[in-house]
Amino acid sequence: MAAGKEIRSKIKSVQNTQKITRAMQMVSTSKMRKTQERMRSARPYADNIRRVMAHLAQVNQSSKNIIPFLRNPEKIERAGIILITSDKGLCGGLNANAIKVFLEHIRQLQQNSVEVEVCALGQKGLVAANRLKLMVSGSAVALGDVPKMEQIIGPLSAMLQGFHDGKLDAVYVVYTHFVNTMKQQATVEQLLPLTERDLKLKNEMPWDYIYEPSEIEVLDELVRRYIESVVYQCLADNMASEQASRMVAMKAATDNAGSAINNLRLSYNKSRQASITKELAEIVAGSAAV
Amino acid sequence: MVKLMRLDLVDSEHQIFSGDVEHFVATASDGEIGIYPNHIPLICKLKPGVLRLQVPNEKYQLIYAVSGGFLEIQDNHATILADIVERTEKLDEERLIAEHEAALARIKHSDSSQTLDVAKAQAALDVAIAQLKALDYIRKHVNH
Repeated sequence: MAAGKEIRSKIKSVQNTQKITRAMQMVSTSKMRKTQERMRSARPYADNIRRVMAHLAQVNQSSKNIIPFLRNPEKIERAGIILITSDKGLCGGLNANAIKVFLEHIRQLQQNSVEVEVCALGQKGLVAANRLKLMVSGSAVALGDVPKMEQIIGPLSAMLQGFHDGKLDAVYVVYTHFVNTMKQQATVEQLLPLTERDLKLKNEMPWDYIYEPSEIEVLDELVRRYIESVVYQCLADNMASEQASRMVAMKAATDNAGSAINNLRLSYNKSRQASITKELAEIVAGSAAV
Repeated sequence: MVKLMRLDLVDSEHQIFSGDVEHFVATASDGEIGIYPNHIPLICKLKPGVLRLQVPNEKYQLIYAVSGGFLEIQDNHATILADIVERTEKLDEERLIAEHEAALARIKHSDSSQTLDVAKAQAALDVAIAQLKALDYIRKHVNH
């Protein structure tokens, strides 16, 4: 009966694993709902600031060259990449995909002999960047489940200041976009220089504002806030993706554990049946010999 | 019929107020400014301070502590893009003074290489200043 006992303990252990994965699935299901709400609640600010900035950029075509954040370098020599990942693992291919996209983007940049520096938001990305010996100019880990603006302002400021002072010619962000519960897409987006997408206006408004204190100061600060809000939005997006991805991964793990238990139980029953048959055969053979 | 204008108050994490107001007072970088309907297009930086909204048909004003941000007005529609906003009912003076001092101390003691800590402390300081100012305003004008 040794084999039977072994299988029984194996079943027990798979059952315990299944309990864990099922609990994690349920936790991430409820967290996902909350992270999606947060993603939506950050939208009014992002929409409003984008509208204001687009309008400002349009009436200020002439000042493009004097405002550091609106400059558009002809040649990119140094680029910054903000890599957003999760802090914890066990969420399917989420971080692996994001890092793959990130590496692909770096490879493209390096082909054009662009130097790269990284700002890592999230533990997994930081570990990956350090392992690849990339230059990390700022990082934030242990971000929790609620994205907080003050957590990202510090690490971001290094990048923004770099672009402002002309040390960086472009800034990109890599994160996982939440399409729906089943689909999350690792994406690269260009933050700086600002793209057409940022500056497009639905309807033209030809008047100019009164500025206080000054046009340059306002625009400078506004672009900074805009980038911060875009990154915040990306972070919220990434957290929703993380929970969705974890939920799906844990559901798959729970299902797999279920089928593994079924298989084990089948072989357990088979071996039990075999030993009973064998014993019976021995008894019958013994009585026949007498 | 009183003239009204539309006001949206948002911070980076939520929409806080959206609706019509009779007028409002905000703390701009050069001092307090009062905004009435049909104001000309304006964009200005806000510094930590009080934001008071006069909602229509009510005697009281809504009072918020705003830690900084932008005010934009165009087409009789004002938008406040605030950094951090707090309703004044939640404020507690002793806690605020403690936070204010803690933030000041952190800024003083941190060296410039730790940009992250300084940025965090500066943000906390702005919030504390805004909230203390809001409390001060309430004590002077509302309770008596």
